[in-house]
Amino acid sequence: MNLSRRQFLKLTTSGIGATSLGALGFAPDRVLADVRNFKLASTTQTRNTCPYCSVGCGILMYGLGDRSKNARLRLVHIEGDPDHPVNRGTLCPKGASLLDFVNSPHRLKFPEYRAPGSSEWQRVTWEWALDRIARLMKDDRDKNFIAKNAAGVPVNRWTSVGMLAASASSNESGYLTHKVFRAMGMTALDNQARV
Amino acid sequence: MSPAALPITPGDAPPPLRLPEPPLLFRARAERLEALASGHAAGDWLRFLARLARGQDRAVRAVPSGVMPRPGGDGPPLAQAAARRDPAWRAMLAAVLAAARGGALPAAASAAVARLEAASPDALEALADDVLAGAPADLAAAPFVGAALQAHLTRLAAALEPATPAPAGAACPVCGGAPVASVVLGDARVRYVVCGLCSAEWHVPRAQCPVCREAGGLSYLEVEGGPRGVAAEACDHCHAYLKVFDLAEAHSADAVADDAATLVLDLLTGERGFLRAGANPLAPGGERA
Repeated sequence: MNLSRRQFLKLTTSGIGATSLGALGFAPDRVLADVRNFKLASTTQTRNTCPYCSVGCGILMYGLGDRSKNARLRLVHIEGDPDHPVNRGTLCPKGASLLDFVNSPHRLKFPEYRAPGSSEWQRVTWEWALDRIARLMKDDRDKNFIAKNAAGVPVNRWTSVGMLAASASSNESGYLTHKVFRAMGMTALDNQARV
Repeated sequence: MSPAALPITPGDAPPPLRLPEPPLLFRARAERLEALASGHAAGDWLRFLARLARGQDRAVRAVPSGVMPRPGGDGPPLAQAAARRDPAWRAMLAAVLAAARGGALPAAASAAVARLEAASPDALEALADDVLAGAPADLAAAPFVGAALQAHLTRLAAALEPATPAPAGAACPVCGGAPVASVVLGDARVRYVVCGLCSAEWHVPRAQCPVCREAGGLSYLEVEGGPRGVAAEACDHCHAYLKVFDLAEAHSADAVADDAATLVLDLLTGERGFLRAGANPLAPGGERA
């Protein structure tokens, strides 16, 4: 009776005689014709976490495509994960529309740059983008850093730049975000950019 | 004014166990089988199974309950009741056989009914042991015996206290039987695995193999252009599959009835090399792998 010891059964068209349908004398011809006329479609279900806010709702993503053939899956449906202790299958309206976010033709998939005064976005590399951000941050900090207040007390503030971080970050990356930017003196720091 | 209570409190865990309601279960199953039979490639067979379910319905109403097994000991609470059966199940078999006679039967099925009606209690008990062990040798007699055992154990399961079951691996935590299929509830969206034998349903997380509990190698195989909300949850780790019926799409699906009606999905999935983990007492079949 234990399934770990019970043998599973092979059920194929050539063995249709070894079913109760055949053994009872019911004609299997039309069932076998259906087998020839139909084929299988394969989908997958994958757990993930909604990327929007710090609530961290669990989601189930339905992909169409054959896992065994290493085909590229097409995401066809997303619903709340009913087994996730945070949301028990529920999603907010924003989370419930995740499918359109994923499949949107306007979805941002790489860094883009719009030069001052220009109306055109151009694709750039991550290296270029990170170098440019670092350069601008350094210049701004050198110009606006406040080491001491009017009373001469050391405050080490950098108030002219703020930081919006990702709300779907883990505790660890949230901790690192704070450590890195507080160390630079940044005060306007939001690690829960949910809106 | 206080807000109306929501039907689901976020954060509430789904009940680990759902116990059957025999007075509703078998009647609904018979109706489902009759509905599935019209226009179906194996319609005559499904109408025959509907008569078995009508017989089960009559059996759980008419046959007096035997002795309720006393709980205790290790393992599933009804495991002993399945292995050492109250003779009430044989009265249920008589009801199932009478219902089967209530319509046209192929010669082989008629012969099986006559054989079972003439069989001695010892021979019937031996057949029951064979059915419970999986892969019964007498496939013509097995659906009748399986239906009677299912009615018997379903009534026992209905009388249990719905306590949290001890995990029993892939087997039923109530009677130790094999699952027939999974259902995903239409509203709560949680998945329950349905026992083919005692009809208890136990919670297993979605997108996880109910047989080996691996999550990484599952494919959901569906018949293209076939009924909606029906898939074989096939696992690359244990090479077995169990069907899952999504009640949001397959609205009035019944695990046993719809499992039988989706035999084509079994055959196509079998051709891909997956083995069937589900056991349907009304529709046994398959060869030892």
